[in-house]
Amino acid sequence: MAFDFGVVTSHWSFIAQGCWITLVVSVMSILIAFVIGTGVAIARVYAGERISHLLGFFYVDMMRSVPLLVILVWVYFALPVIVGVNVDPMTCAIVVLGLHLGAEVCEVVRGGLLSIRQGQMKASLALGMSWAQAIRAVILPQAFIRSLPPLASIIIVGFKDSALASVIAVPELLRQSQVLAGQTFQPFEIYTAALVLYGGFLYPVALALAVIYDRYCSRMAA
Amino acid sequence: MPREDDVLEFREVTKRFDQTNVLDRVDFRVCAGEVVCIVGPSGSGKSTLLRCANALEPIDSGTIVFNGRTVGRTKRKLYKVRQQMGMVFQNFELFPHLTVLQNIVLAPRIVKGETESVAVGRARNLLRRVGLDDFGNKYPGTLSGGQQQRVAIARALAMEPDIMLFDEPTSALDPERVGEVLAVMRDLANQGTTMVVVTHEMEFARSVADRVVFFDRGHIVESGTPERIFTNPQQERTRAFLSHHLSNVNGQRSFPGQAH
Repeated sequence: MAFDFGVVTSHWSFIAQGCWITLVVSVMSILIAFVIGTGVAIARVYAGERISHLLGFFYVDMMRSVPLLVILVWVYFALPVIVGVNVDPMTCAIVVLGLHLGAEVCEVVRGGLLSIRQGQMKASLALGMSWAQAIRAVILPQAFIRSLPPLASIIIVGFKDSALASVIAVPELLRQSQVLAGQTFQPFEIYTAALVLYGGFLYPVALALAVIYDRYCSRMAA
Repeated sequence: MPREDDVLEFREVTKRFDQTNVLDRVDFRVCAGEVVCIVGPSGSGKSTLLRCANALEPIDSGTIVFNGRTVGRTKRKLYKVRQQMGMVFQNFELFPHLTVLQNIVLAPRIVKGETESVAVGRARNLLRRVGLDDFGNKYPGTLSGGQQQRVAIARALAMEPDIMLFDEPTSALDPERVGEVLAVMRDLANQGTTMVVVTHEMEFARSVADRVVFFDRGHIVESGTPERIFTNPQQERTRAFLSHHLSNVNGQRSFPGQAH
């Protein structure tokens, strides 16, 4: 059986488009995840038990107990039935991926925040900082550095989960590959290219994150 | 002593944890330039007294007056008060993700809005003052306990406070590191810094303090010159504590009541 990877090069711009959309969906959803996850984590740690439980129940636990694919399909196909508004697939994918991943970010950052000694907050306040300044300049940076390994995993997962957006026809890398495979009848070449592209991009990202962690970790080590 | 000189004053301050009065109607005053050492058994409320002074712990009743103003309950006023009080903690509490220099300039930069050059200039002076000129770019984790505590003192001084509160600054140190921190504190005292020091270092209290306060079970049992407290304590509880403590510390140190 002969393989002809020429099909990949001849359709490179179609595939490159998919790569670009994958990158946009991933980066946007990871950014949303970090902003929301960090915000909810701070609220869960500092805003009192009641708010912590509410956020935990209505956001974190709900997001984590339903498969991402199911939420994605539900929001895209079922939600418009109730609210009567169709969402553009790309926006839908970014928001759902971001919210879903945000729940994971929240729990990791929350663990990081809780691991910082109370004395650090006391020392910050004693220097005259406001609570918000202490969080921003002292507590949160340390929480992030401590949480870097799991946060790095979350970033990688964020990139990979973007492939799920193919089910709601977001023209990202996997979706473009499916279209191309259907048109050219050469699924092996096309899907192999997709596999190599995902791996070839994400493996260096994982390595880079590990390097960043080593750098910060060695500083903070007592 | 004249009241207008008071930097810090506690009036009938009570602080409860659960049902226990950790501070029980405490009256306490510190004058400008005065060095007050607070001694007493563990768990007697000494540290709580300091934490109440800059409102890290809320009080249940009474009044705390700082620089002639009642320490308010509103947050904005609390931040202002804390900017004028330096605090040094038992566990240093340096910020481990920042260099020594960044630790010192952080609060002046973000709280007072000082420029980088002003803040860094002062930080370098302070580092020289605590004998750590070359340590600016190091991370706290690479420093010994004594060095970390000296940085913590410099960090507190960088806000140019009107009073320095020390909460057992040498209790977490290796014995051979205690001296270098006490030397810095002695230096501060000699330069007229207003200081309240919670400590178990009786020798330091004896030689540096203007006034020693013996604190037990939420009360000031007695207060007076080091001479009086160490050589001629009036209260039985003070005597019992001191004889136990001084005899345990070091054979060379004299017992209360003994001439020296």
